[in-house]
Amino acid sequence: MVEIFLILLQFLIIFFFLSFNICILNDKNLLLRKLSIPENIAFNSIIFLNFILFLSFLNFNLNKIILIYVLFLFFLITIYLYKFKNLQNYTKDNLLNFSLLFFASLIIFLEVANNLVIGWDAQKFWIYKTLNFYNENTITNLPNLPNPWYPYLGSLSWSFFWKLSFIQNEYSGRLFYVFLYLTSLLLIIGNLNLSKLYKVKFYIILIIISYDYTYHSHWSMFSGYQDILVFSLVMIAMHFLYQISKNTDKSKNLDILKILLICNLLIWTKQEGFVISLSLILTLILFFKINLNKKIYILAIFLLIIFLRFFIFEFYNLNPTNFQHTGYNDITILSIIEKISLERIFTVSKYFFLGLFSNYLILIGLFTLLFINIEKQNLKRIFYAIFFLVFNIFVFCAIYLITDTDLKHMLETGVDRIIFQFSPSALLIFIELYNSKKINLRKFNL
Amino acid sequence: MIGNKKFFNLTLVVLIFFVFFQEFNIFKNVFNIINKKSYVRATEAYKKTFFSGYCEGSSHGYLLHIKNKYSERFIKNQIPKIINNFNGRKEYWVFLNVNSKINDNQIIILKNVGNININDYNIIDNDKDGCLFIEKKNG
Repeated sequence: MVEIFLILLQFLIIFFFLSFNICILNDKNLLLRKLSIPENIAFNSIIFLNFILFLSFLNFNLNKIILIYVLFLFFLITIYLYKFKNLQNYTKDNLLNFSLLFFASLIIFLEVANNLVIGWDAQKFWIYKTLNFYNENTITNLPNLPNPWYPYLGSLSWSFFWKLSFIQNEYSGRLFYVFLYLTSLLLIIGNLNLSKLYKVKFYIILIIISYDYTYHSHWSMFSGYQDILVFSLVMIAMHFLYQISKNTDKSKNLDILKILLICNLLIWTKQEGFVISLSLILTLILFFKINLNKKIYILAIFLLIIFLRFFIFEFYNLNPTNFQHTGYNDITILSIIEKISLERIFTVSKYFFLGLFSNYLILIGLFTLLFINIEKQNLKRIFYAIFFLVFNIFVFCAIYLITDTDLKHMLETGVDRIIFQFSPSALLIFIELYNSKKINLRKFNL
Repeated sequence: MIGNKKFFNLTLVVLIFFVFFQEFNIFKNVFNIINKKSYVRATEAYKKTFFSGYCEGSSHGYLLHIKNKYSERFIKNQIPKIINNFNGRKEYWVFLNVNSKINDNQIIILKNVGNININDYNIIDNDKDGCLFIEKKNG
């Protein structure tokens, strides 16, 4: 019984730590009052993750990182109290959002607390990095642990919330992944022009269909794998892309900045983050009305983010073997050409085809596209989401094509997880269609 | 009075919630969390994976058992050496301390195939001769 109480408490701790928005420092119009809970938490999570990441670059251990973040929180709370006289704003919508988030979090927190498996890859790559920070080591100790060439942001956040928790078990840190995942789903659903009741239904259904995404694993997606973090961050990025596609005002700049910050997080979460963040930036540059100067700035900042990633890895010698990913030992042009064959292309295509058709979010996107085609709707509005999806499919197909290890094994054990990570873009296609003024779904009383 | 449409909608919401409960085994999870300690739950969960079990594969169950029962026997900042004859994986992370050194005088043997001369050791724990926790005599 005590553990259940502590699990509830962990929800409140995570919620509290991600409730205070840095924009309060420059909020003249009290715009923060209008933010919904998922919008607020999603933005604060982006800031939080970047914040602890940069502190880790400074060679701080976890206790120092927590202390500095707590001081930062106290500072924000003081400003909140000074400006708003209280800490939260309880509108009806926010109460509904909070209830949904609380309810869904509790259910999945209990599932994580009972099903305590750390997945195969998580044991190999991520848990040691988590323990590194939890055991008071800094970034400098990572080269002494297995697979140092992998990024460590997910492990850092895992250890952060484990350390803060009253539950003396590593799973308490993984509950943050659940929280971010549920927040990202709530955030994207907020974009649908639906009644509250239908949003609740859609939210629960979306959790159910996006939860079990693997067809080979026997453990949950919160078993320490970083795919769920990438999925959540991409989902949040999709929300901001959608906002940019709608808005023409000043908030566009802030949304672009948020996407750039998400790109930084993706790169520090998983190797796949490079491809996904590149696709985000290309989508932003190619499909949105942004002036040329701004586009150059976006590209320059993105390149700076990439440079920083390699600089930090070099500085702390996190990649002594110059390995980028297991299964890719020889990546010279000659060997790449040698690896490409019709048979391999067919194998990769087959697995991707099956993988795409076994992911429910992708299926929703494909059915939406089919519907648009039948209704002869204009696709122009959703070109950016289609580009994001297709770019990722092609690039990951190409990456699989040049692997040195057993191709079939790589595809069998990884393709579903890869697709899962960029699948939120398919949901965006659905949202764009649903909200399109040309389609009047009011006849269905939704 | 609740109209037919509203009743239908509410019923649908309730049904969706039931599916949600079912999908996430809410009642089973609550029961297990209340009645079983975390290492027991972990052991049971690993039994369902292809790579581990109690005394098979990576043997998380046995490692958790040793950690839970004999951690006071470990020398400070040291953890027992793992010899895994099942699949070769040595899950030292189970002891949750990457700063610990490996103590060669305390050994956890997963699948005893006789490659260690047990006569030189005291047997601290024995799971059906399959998995052992041994400590060097006068070690």
